[in-house]
Amino acid sequence: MIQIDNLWKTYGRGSGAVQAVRGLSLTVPSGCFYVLLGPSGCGKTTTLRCVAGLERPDEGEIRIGDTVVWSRATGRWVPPEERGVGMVFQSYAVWPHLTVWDNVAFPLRYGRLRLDRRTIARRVEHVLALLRLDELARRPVTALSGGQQQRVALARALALEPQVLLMDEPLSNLDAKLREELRVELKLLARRLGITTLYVTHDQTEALLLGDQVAVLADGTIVESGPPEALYEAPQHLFVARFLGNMNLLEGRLGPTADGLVVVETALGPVHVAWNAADGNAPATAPVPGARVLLGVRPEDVALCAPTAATGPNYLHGRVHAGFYLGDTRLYQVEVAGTLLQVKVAPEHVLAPGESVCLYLPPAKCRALRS
Amino acid sequence: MLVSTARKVPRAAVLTAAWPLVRDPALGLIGALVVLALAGVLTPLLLTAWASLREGLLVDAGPLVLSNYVAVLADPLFPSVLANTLLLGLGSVAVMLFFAVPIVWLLARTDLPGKGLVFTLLTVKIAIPGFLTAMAYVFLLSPRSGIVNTALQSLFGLPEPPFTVYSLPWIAALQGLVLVPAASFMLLAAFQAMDPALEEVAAVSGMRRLQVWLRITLPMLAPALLATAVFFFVIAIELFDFAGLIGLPVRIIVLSTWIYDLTHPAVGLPNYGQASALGVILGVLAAIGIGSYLLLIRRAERFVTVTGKRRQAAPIPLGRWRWAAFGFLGLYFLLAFLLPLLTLLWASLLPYLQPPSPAALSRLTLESYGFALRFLPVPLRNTLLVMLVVATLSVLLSACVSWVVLRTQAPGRRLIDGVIFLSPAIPGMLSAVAFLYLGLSVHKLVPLYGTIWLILLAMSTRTLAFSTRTINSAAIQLHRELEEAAQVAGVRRSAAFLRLFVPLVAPALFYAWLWIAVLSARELTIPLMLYARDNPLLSTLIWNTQASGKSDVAAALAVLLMSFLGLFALVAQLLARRHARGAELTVG
Repeated sequence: MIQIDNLWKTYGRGSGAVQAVRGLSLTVPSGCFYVLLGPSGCGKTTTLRCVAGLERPDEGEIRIGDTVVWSRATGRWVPPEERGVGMVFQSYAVWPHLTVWDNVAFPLRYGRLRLDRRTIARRVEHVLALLRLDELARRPVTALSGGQQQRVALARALALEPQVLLMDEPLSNLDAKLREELRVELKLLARRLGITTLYVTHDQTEALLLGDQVAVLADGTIVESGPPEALYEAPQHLFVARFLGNMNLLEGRLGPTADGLVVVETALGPVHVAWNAADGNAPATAPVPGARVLLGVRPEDVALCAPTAATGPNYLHGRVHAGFYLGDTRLYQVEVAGTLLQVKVAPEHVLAPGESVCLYLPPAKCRALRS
Repeated sequence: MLVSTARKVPRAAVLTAAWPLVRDPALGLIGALVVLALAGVLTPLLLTAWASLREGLLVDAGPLVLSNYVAVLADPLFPSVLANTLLLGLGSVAVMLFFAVPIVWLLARTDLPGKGLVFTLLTVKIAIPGFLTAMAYVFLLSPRSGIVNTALQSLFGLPEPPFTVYSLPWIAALQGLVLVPAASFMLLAAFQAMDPALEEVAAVSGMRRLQVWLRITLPMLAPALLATAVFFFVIAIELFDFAGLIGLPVRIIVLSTWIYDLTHPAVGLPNYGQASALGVILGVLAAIGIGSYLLLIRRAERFVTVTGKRRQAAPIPLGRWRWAAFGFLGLYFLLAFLLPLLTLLWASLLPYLQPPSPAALSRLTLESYGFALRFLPVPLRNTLLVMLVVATLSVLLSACVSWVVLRTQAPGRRLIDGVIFLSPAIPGMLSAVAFLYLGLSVHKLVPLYGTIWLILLAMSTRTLAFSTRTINSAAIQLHRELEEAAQVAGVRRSAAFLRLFVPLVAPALFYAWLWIAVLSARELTIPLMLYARDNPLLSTLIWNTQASGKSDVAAALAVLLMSFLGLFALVAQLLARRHARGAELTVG
């Protein structure tokens, strides 16, 4: 378990000071794969480095398991070498003068544990087999590819049998294809080992695929956290809606609520939005009629229908402005009353620019976000 | 009540927060070595300043006085010494730039064939002691017995010798020749850093090549050129080898030789107070120089760092001008390298100086080498000891400094880095006076004076800048995360230093070690100031042999030392090609 309470960290002093983390709190339950997701400069890496002990926070408290490793209140500070965490870095940080085997064995031999020769051999063999590196054990680590080097780094961290694993953008130095393979491998491994993991990334796909819990960060604090499905399908915050995937956003005002539906009056007409606190779809506060909101709907949730189809709320009529072929889908920009909406459909729907179309926005897929 | 509040903070936790050293005692050792390095660099400055205000030794009680300054400033010698010193500096730098700028341009921007050889020769030239070049030119151009003078007089029946090496212009010119390699390495970086696109833009917009050179290239390089000039001006005014060997016998006195004179008077007692006062004055001149150097280098960097992506310029084809280039390079290496080398070789093979002739050839003998070998054992042993200890100590201290500065959050680490970076500006003569004063002052407690250990101590502090820079440039290329990974994995900082940092910068450590060994063997100033009769080094042995008039034996020893150091430098260069420009702080 990792618990962070009210973490603050400022770099520099005076006018050049940067507040990297501002009052961040989170709890990673035991066995949970927790992803910190955010744009560069949002404080995610700083948070991770504070947990590792590589940075000393200004304020707050950090617990790993039952141990307080940093507390401003009591002045307690456990240095990184005593924290018993495993960490994987973006740059791999494998030691270039050592072999694969020695890289994994080094911390066991010279670190806090100072294990005996036989235990070291057993552990190293075990993790190398786990990461399919056993064939390469005697190779100099610099003779390995980037993906293999990162697996060595992971093996090195796991060999310590740490209570928590920290990972700082471990895949972002790899090329796209390898990244895709390795993140699936990583997820399967994490499921198998059930190790508590705090993982930092700026890649939303990676976050959704890997995380049991995902926290979206901005300006040094958590904007929203939860299971990946909830964050993607029902974001509560505009920032999260924009950062995770694409979303069409229309300005509007809240209308009356009835039968679990709330009406949002937009420039394109009234749109019904499902409003049900039970399915986690509703904001914490009750809708206030007249409040300004942004209506959000993802391009892949917008349905195409024949121009002659029914009219009424959630049906919009427009013209195709431009189309783009993406391989597995097609993306269209559809102009509705002077506004461009993005629509993502299966590739067999072929539309010509200028063609009239009817769009349907399913109420269950629409969000009313505070602007 | 108070007690119970205090109890909330566990004592152990507070201790460990305050002192990581408690958890990792080896870290304390590293810290102690860093403090030692800093103390070594600052000691000469503080001691000289202190000694200049005292009339006795460190241990003697007595008030602080200004009488030393009054004495040297009022001395009738002072105005001429100051003028000589400044002229020497200016003259040396002028000669240095005359050769260095074209050489660097040829190396950096043209299709000159054989650049590798030029590099190697420049590097090996650095390894050859400056005072040996001075000695060779005395053999060539001395009015009484100089080979060239004798030859010309007998050839043309001249009544007077046409040349005399014993003059300020000759001292300046020879010193300038010797500074060329170090200056070239420093300038090369600036030439290579300049974006060729800036010149190309001008050329494409229709400017002629000479115009481009005068209006674009030169103004852009001006700050770098000026900075190099100022830096080597500082070196030139404190260099002892030439002024000591050529100027001192005929009483052409500059600040550094005046200091030597005061501490080694022919009659009477040494005057350490006045020597220190002169040391402070020399130090102030150096500080002014190095201050302007820092300002200029900042401007130079602003010019250079404008460009983002840099690419190599297409080399300018020399065409038939390449013969002129060969001629120029040939002239330089003839004057700075071949002529001194051949002169010393020639002088070592003859009982007395004489121009080459059939008669002279019939008198060739290896007798002087016999004498030289008889003198050799003790100085050779001492010199090897100096090379070994100075290089090892310097690299050890520098590795600690470099690691603490680059890899820790230790308070004051930037200050330490800055002080060590600037330490070459501390004149060698000033250091020597300081350690002489220290050695004499504490002689009753620690009998260091007159032993080789005082020399070792003084010299180790003078090479720290070079070794720290060499190690820094290697360490900067190592990712921080390499050590953070170890730290998080439970490895102590000191263990990470020893088993990760040191092995990873090992090539740089080795390279620095080799070069410092070479530089320590060629050092004259400090051994000459601090040596005693029973512990000569090769350099002081050669100096004394030459001073006592045995030119053939001195030449034989010089040939032996030169070949040894030249070979050493060549090996160092071949072993560590990628550190080719690391030698930029080595001087004269």
